[in-house]
Amino acid sequence: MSRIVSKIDIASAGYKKNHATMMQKVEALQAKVHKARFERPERDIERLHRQKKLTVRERLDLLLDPGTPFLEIGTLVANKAYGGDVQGAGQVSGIGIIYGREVIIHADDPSIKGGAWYPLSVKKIVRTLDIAIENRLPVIHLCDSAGGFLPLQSDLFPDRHAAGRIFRNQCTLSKMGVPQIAVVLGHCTAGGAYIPALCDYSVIVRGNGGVFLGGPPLVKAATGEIVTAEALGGATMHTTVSGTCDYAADDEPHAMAIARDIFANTSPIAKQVIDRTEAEAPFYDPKELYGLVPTDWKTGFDMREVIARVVDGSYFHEYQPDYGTTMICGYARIWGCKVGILANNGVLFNDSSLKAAHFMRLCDRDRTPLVFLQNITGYMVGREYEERGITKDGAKMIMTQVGCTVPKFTVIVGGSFGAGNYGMCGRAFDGRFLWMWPQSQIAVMGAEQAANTLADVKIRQLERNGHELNPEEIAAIRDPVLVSFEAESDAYYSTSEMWDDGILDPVDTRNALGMAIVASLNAPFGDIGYGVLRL
Amino acid sequence: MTIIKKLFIANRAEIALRIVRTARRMGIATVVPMHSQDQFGPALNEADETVEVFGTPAVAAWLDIPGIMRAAIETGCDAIHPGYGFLSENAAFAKAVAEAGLVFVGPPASVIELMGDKITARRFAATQGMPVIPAADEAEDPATFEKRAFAVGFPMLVKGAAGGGGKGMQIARRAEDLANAISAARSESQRYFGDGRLFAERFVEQPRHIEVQVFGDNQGNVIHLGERECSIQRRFQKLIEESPAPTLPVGLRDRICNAAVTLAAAAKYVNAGTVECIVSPDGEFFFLEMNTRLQVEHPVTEMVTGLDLVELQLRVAQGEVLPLRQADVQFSGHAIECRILAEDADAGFVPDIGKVLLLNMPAGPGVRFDCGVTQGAPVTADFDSLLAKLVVHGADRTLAISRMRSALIETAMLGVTINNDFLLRVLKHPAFARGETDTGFLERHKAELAPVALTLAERQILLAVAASAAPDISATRIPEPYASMGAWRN
Amino acid sequence: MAQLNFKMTTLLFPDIPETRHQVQVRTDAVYVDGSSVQVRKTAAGSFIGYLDGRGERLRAVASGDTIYVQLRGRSFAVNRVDPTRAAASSAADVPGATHAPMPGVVISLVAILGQHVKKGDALLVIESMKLQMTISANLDGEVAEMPLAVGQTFQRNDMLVRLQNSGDAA
Repeated sequence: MSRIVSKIDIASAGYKKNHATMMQKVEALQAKVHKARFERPERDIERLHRQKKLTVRERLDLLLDPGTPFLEIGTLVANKAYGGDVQGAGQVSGIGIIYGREVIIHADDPSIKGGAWYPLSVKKIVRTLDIAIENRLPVIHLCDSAGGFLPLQSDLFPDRHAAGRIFRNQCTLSKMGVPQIAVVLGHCTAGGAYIPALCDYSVIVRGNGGVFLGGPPLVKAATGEIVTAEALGGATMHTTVSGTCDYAADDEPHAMAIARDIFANTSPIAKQVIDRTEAEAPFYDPKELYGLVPTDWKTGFDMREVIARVVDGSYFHEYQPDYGTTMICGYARIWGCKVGILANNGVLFNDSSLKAAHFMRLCDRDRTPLVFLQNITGYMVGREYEERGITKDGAKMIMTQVGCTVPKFTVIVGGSFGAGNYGMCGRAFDGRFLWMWPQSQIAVMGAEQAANTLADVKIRQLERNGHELNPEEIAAIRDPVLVSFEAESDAYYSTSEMWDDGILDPVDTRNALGMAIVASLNAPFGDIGYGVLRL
Repeated sequence: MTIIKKLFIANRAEIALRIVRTARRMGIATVVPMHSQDQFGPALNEADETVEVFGTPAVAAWLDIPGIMRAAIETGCDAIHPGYGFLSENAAFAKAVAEAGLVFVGPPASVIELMGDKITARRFAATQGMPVIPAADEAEDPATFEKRAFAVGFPMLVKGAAGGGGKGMQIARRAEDLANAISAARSESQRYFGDGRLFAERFVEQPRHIEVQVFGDNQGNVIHLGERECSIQRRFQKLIEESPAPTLPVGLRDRICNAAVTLAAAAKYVNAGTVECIVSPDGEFFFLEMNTRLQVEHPVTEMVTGLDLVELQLRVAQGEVLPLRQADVQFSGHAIECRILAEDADAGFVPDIGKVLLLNMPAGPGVRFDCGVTQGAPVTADFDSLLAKLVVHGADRTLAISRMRSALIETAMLGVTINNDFLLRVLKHPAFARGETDTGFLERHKAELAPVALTLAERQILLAVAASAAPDISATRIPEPYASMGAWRN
Repeated sequence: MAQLNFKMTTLLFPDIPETRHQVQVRTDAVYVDGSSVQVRKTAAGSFIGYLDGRGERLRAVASGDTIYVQLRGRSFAVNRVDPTRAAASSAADVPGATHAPMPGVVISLVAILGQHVKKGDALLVIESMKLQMTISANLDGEVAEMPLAVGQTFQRNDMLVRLQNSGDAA
């Protein structure tokens, strides 16, 4: 291993321009994140105070170890849905630390629409529990929800990965031996009641907490019985009569203290062992990332410069440095953990695809987690490449990547288009985490290419019928496609739909990867399989 | 002259330790009794030998004359020092010691009989021209006691004739209170001293309790070592003592001391004794009683005279002549003693029990701490609540008060409630600084002596320290990389 | 390598038991209910705390769940709270009342109506399923109701005894 030698010139005009545009994007991101996390209508905060409830962030401050990091997942989910009113889909998810051990949090945010579950809320909870299953992370559920958002019930109730999947995942976690603790801070009604019921331990707050399959209005409508929420499913009843909940808390701080105490009494498991040493900060200043990545994905840059500002000491051992040069492969450490990095430095050719596949196999066999840094427009096309078997070689790369049993982590640093997304461990390929950068783009192809392609089809169709189109008419066909493609390729759109686990400020990439890699060691790696084929 | 070679100390806690130390300095071997309920006394570590004594309740072991005698003889002792309390004023005990051929470090049994009994002492004092308070003695004629008591006049004090140390005493302010006071005093005296006979005397309002330390040898020499003021009392028990008595006119002081010497000499007093008097607000003094033993507060006299009273006791007991005459006695500076008791002074002086988990003994120029407990010692209801004596000397009373205040702050016996903070408030009170001391002081200034509420900042500091001192069962070490990442958020 | 150790504990002063304080002892400072407080250990049982900018010496020692602390000569007992223990009194609808946990019979009455009792004093003895149980006072007060006689049977949740705080109106 040797230290990457940086070739950028931070005094150059290009660097300064990149820096300025990237900083704008970063500041916009920080503003959106701040709004999603903290800005709430006054009346919603008043309501919380009246109910003697804390905000989600205050609850987490009491629950998690002081002075420890929190890797939030999907902060900006639903930022482009439901009129933009449902910040984070009314959910806070993330990996935090309790008594020095990793936990994953699923927390309803009662200050957003009463914590109601929209379709994206359900998707976020399911994703949170999927992460828990894949990484064997204990789960703490902070339950405080008004229930499903009925107008959109068809999108959150019946399907395979809709609300039912939450409970199916809870059962799977239980069978795996992963502890789950529910803290009932508000109402858990109907389906939501199953969350504490399916947890190993549950804490319920007197006065505010309620667990019932049907709330008082439904009970009255169904049988005519009149009963208060407290009597029907409050703390006293469930902790002394029905045994549905285990501990009654007088208030929320008490509930958090109980949850911590319960967690302290669950046993930690032995983690997967990997090659791990003491951490070292990157040699180069991570803030230089702002200046070296252009915000226009069509402009290239050397991914080694990104690697140099993410890995320990900026040390990197490059594999096959002279072969398949559009794919950078090599070993580095992130927060002391040895990882194998695959990073795009251009289009994928036959040799770069084969090199990637070989390298992934080496990492998998040697139990080295994989980090994919994507900036890919796709595989090379053309007759020469098809004759050389580019389709086969791309398939080898995808097959190898899916066959890996070591944890995989993906950061979309620039563009992520078409099949290149697949080979480089896109969302569908079971990476443990996937993040975007603020200026990154993801689509089946670039917006201009798509717009041109669709316009071409239309133009030729019309020309066959004898219509000759003028530039304005062409623009009228082309521009709407361009606009809609651009909107749907945007990182904020991706994160809104939860195609990713969040948009990272580039300088946070190192910590996010570090925390995710160490958390993933809670799950043992799978079998090694084949030896290394020299493809 | 009998040289004492091995001394049995029929006592415990701080006084046993204090006697052991002087005896050791004089080359005398020491034996201290130990009981299954009293295994942590500091004297047990410093005495040459310990011997187990038996009794239930535990105090009974120290009141068991045959048991004590047996322990002393079996360990080969040739003298017994009774300390204070227990058998120290028990004439039968003094007699038994003498009859066994051992030296009793104290006056002869006959003198104890005469002066140790309140009633006989009072009569004797009156015959010697010592002013006495109007009183009625039940023993003279039990049938007419209540009627004669009425004649004493109100307010009056009804107390056990055989008692002391503030126990077995009741105040009757009006005629209606007398019957209750008599029955309460009687049952308390019976319980503490095994003797329910009573004595009624006029209660002087706002009296000052002034006592004189006297010393006699068996050649008939008697001197005094100055007076002590012991007016700060609660439930008739002394809390703070000092010497010299502040604001006492010199003429009055001399008259009291000389009268005490005269009385002691007439009684043919030998060894250490204290003549206790009451001084009224108009400067009249009355004989109260005589304690025919070493007092709890003797260190106060030691600090202003520079003398070791236990050493004097042992030398006189050996038959030596008093090594100094009255003119040789020098007084210097001012000394104050505070009794550190296991009690919650702010909850009505309710006794507390527990364990001395952490002991800090104050130290410094002019500071003496006679401590009766060791760290880890249990504090039970088996024994007296006096855990230690804090005695401070200064060139003048102001300096002594200042040193005492610092020393009280430094005194710590965590695990049991002690009264050091209460004593501190007394010492800080302007009336105390002015020397306006009389036995009604604490009651009169009760409201001002109440504790001040804690401020928020003080509560926070206490909680912070408590959490820091709490055991580590929930201590957590955050592993890497989280420790280095700190409170990072993405 | 950073070192991050901490202790989180819930403490209360016995004179104000309803107020619980969350205290975190971290490597940089101690946080009492969120406010940072500077204290430093100087020796076993000995600490320095800063009040009004001045360093004050404190002594402290723990015994089980009680920590004794002394500041300026005044000592206090601070209790550590186990968060899983029930805080206030439990499900009783009637304050001061004790209800039968299961059916049984009254074996003997230890206290009488109007008697002043202290928390923990025995009130009556019951028997259920061949097991005798002493019902004790759960607060200091006066026996206000003792509805059952010796030999009388009762059902689950029947009231066995009711206490009231001395000074409460009946």
